[in-house]
Amino acid sequence: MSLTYDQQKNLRSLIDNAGAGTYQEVRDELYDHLMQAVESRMEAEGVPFTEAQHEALEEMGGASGLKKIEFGYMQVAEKQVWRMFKAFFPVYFKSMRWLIPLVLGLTINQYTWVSVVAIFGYLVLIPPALGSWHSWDLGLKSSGFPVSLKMYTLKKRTALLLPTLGLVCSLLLEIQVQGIIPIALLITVYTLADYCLTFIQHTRKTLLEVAK
Amino acid sequence: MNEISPQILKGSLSLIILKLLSENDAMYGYEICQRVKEITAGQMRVTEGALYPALHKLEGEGLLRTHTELVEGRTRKYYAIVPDQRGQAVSRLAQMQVFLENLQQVLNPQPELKLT
Repeated sequence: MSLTYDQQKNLRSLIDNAGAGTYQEVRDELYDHLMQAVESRMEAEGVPFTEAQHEALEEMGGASGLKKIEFGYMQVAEKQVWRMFKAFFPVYFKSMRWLIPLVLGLTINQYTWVSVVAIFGYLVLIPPALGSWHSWDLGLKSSGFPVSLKMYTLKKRTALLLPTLGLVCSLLLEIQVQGIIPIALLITVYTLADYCLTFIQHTRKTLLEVAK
Repeated sequence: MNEISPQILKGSLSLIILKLLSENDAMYGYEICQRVKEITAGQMRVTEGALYPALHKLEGEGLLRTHTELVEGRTRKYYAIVPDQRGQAVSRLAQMQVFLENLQQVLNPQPELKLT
């Protein structure tokens, strides 16, 4: 039994009004489930649409149940992002390669040293801030349209590369304070390349999975 | 017989999902719910509130993969066990099988035969 256009629209509104229509993937899945539950009830039990809709929604836990399902989905995605952070950072910092630029910077002059320290400050502070729950949630609430959870996860993961902004700022600081010092420039570029390549190497599989 | 307690069901839901998916190429959420209801003659009812988080969790762990198909004008998401992870899924099911056998021993101990 196929539902009419208005009935289908009714079910979609149900999901959106429950606050579970933020993510496209979750919205589609819930809508498909609800549609089937309603159709099978109408066909098997011969109940009218409103009654079938009410029963199907109740079985899913009502509006709060729908919201919880979306919340659960979001939590799983959030955990995947955090797992990637936790896997990457210990590997990078245990390698001790990050010490090289710091030591080299110190041997040149204090300004180079300060700028290199700033680089690592960004590396440590910005990714967790970007990976935080609130930044994600707030970002989605401002959009108003269903967003693809997969694409948003991908963007969030690649945001780990944003510390490169910190590197660029440090570079500009070096140029302003000391003029262009080739060695300082090399150290900054080396730090940037090392971090980015390590990040890509360790997260490539996860990023490709999310992107497909 | 009374319906199974939701607490007991919650703990074994991921295994139920793995078992069903190991026997089928791919299934979608509603299909899984109905299949469990059918096999247990209504004794076990998987709620959507428990099913979807369990499915997404297994997907997050890398055990399941998904694909979508357009069915009757709407997007349907199918879940299937990742071929590389089939061994792990089978292993988990085997562990559960052993656990259930041991549990059965505890709940219904067989009397010891003593020869006099």
